[in-house]
Amino acid sequence: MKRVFLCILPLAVAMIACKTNKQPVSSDKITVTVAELLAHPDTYVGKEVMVEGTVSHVCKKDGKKMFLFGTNPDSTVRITTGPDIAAFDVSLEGTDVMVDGIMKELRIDEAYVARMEAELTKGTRETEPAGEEKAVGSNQNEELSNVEQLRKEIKESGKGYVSDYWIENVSMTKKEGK
Amino acid sequence: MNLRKLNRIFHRDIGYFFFGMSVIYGISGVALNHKADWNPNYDISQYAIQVDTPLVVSNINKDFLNGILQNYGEDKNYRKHYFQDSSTVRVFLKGGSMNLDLRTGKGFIETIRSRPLLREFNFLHYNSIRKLWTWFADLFALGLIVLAVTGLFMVKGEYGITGRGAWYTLAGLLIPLIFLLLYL
Repeated sequence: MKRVFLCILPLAVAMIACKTNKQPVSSDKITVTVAELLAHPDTYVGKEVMVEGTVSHVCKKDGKKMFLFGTNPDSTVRITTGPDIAAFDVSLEGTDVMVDGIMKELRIDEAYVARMEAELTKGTRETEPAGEEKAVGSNQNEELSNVEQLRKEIKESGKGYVSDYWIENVSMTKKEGK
Repeated sequence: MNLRKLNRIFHRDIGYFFFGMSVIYGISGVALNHKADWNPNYDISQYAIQVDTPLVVSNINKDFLNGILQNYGEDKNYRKHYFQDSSTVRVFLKGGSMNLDLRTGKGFIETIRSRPLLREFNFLHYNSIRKLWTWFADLFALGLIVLAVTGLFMVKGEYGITGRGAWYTLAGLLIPLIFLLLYL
């Protein structure tokens, strides 16, 4: 019996002794303010940025996204969880943080909107339009009217698409105590 | 030592070793299964407040807001505040927030209280730690497979895998299969 126990134990010890060799890529990080990011978001797409701000809201459903403002609370940038963080803690609301992440862009064109509309009609849509948090009590009609609004924005853009920008979190540091 | 005895020993000892993990993942599994209906980590609730008016924007500062918060036992929890718009102030609290309409004096306080144990269990289940925890969680998953397989051969005869056990095993396989056929 002891022999069998000794078979299991080394497995556990070997597992504990293992070290992860994954290292975040941290070349060419750009430190920017929220205002700078929002003024020229396309400049930073695909780049690793560091931005400091106050967390105005954390998605309470699953913590997959949060919003950050700098000096102006009206202007927020959306931060989504990355591969190294499962969810943002709701208690982050109101805290000052430094976010390190990759600036992302989703180009919403007519094909995207048509797919979104089809999913909404069939009731199979899982993601919210343009990454916005689904409002409590929002119904299918409201969501479909958002689709129409997107169509209007695409038409008015003259580019054939509208861009949704956000930062995918790589790491985050709280600027004040818990 | 014959194979059946070895099987029993593995089943028993792995069962002992992963008892804690099974409870953690089982409880948090139920909690996370229903995350569309509730927040599995926090108890979030709101209650309405009414503040005497008039409220003047230029008078709104930390001390003033703390005076309001004192009435609700939240004055020790002030973090910071900002104006959501020209007539709404939002105050961040340790463990919640307060929204106040300066025109009407109506508002609400939202409290966010951590669910004891569940938050910790979910933290582990979500693999929020990453790093070495991933390896331990993988080992647990492997352990579950070993437990399942060794479990098939725990009993011989009428109640074993060649008897009633086969029917139970088949039923347990059929249920997910039916769901897949219906919904995939």
